[in-house]
Amino acid sequence: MNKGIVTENLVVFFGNLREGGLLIGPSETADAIAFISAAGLSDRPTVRTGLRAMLAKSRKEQAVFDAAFDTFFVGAETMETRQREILDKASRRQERIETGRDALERYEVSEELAEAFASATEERKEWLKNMLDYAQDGNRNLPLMEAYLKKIASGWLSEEGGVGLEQPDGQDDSLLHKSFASITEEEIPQALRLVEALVRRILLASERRYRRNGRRGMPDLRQTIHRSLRTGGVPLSPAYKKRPRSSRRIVVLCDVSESMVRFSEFALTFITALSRRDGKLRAFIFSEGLAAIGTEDLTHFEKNVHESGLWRRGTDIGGALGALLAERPPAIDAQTLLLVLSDAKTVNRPLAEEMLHEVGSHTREILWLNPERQFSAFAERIATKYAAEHVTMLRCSSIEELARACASAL
Amino acid sequence: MTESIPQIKQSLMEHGYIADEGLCAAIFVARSLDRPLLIEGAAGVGKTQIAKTMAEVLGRPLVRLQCHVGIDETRALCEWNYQKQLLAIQAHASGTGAAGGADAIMESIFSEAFLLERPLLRSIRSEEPVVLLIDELDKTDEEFEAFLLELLAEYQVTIPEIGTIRAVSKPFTVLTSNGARPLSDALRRRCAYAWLDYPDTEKEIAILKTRFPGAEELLVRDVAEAVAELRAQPRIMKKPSIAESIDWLAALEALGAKRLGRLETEATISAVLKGRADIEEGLSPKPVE
Repeated sequence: MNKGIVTENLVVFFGNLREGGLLIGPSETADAIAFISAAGLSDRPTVRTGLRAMLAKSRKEQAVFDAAFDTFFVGAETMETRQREILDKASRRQERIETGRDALERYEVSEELAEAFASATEERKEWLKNMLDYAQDGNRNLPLMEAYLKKIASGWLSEEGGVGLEQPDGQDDSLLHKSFASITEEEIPQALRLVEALVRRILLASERRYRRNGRRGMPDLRQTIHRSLRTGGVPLSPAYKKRPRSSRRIVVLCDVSESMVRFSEFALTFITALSRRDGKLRAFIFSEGLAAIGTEDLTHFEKNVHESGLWRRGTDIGGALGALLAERPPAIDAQTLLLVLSDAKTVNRPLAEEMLHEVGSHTREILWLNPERQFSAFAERIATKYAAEHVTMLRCSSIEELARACASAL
Repeated sequence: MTESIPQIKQSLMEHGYIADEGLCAAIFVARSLDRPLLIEGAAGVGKTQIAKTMAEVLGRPLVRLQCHVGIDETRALCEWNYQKQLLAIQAHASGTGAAGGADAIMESIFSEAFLLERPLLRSIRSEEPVVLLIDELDKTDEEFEAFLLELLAEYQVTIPEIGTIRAVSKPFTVLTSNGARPLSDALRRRCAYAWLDYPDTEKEIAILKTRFPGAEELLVRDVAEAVAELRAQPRIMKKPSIAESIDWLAALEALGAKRLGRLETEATISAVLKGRADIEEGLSPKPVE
């Protein structure tokens, strides 16, 4: 094994990996060379898996590594095949150039133009000949015309060779940013898993924010002194304050008209999971009427909506808010955060506005999660007119926007 | 370097762990270069088990640090024995403690005698080299991860009141993560990396046979194929892990089943699927006959 060549090859390979987004520093380079020196190069799978374990530090990076490795380290047979392919390709190109030059012998054309002419359709050939005649008149700016024709020819060759960028595989990301309306039936389980993962992440982050202030909360002096009496005034067991419990109650009002039921299901899953710690959540579904819904098991949300008799009925936000106010025992009070999940497309808008004002005066805050990318005129009106009355309308057209809204509100 | 990748594979197999080439190569790299081994993958694919098996293979004690939200150096590294310090101060004040002035007592209560050792410190102060398992690192916060860097890269820790403590013996460190949050590049680059996926049917059969050498061949295959089918169903939210397929086979063995039919599936499905919706979904397709 020629160490110099091996090192040189590895350095080029690492350059390719860096271009693929892997973080390869001098220490990784030194490690890889140490590994190759120890394990040798004779066993390709060992080199591949060993270098991958050392250099690729996530599943995505492993895929980049595998592709780069397979392209870079090839066996003698593959190398010969590739060389043959390159030579074949070059000879075919040369043939095309010669054919093109023969056909355009009275013009001085570049290789690229001749090649493009040879592979072009009859219509394009005619057009190119006309353009060349025009350029050769001598009255035009010839270099400019040549550059123009070269660009056109390059475009034709790209079409020919199918040159284009591969679409990145961003399925998860696309689901994160996809509008609720365009999530297909098949994608729902994956989207719900994404919601679960986001909930875990948000809960973990909020827990960390709290813990950052101190592992066990602030010292509780009163309790510490009280306990120290048992040990002759020596504070052997210091006491710490417990995490303050929120006195806030959350009420969710879900629009279950046909276009809204999927959004309501996702949003309610999110809100339920995020507020599980506090355990003070109540949910209602509405269309032309209002009905309470349990949040313990949301796996059959759509079925429950169908059975409630509210499915495929019109939306009456005013009526629903009125019914919510009339609930006994009261569903809302001054400690309530009311979450409205709706696109604000409602019948009887004056009543909706009136009841919104009424409910607003009974609750701490109203947060309206609207899945529409473009708010309707009525939604815009609510968002601006009632902002001063603690009504906040947030755009939640995708899982990502919904997660952000829920994380900030809850 | 004392072993090769095939030797590692063989040793793990002898201790009941069926590992693929990628994992064995990562262990080989970690051992050769004295690096920690970072293993990521879904829950229940055998991440924690690899540390336990490596401890058996290497004949070392296993020191485990189970991470959780809010863990800090007092739980992971060491903590001052507050009660002992207070008693020493009381004893000194009453004249029954060690001789010396205030400076002496201050120096005394911040010495190693007053230190409560936690897993990380224990792993580097042990005379005998150990296998250190830092489990579910993704549950910790970024500050804790940064705190670990010194230990993982230099095999030393710094305690402000005492100074730097270097490892008496280097532990073989295994870090696991379920991906609840992405780990930092700084930590990743210090580790050899392996991703563990759910095993294919043949590997699952091999694992089940290792655990239940006397089990019916056909029953083992039925379970492995059924589990693979359940994992492939997109509507099943909590995919069955290897541990759950082992539990399923154990339940079937306890029932004296010879094959996995409809009745056996209905009776034991709760061993492999956890959640009402998943069980309903799992029972809806025709089970393996």
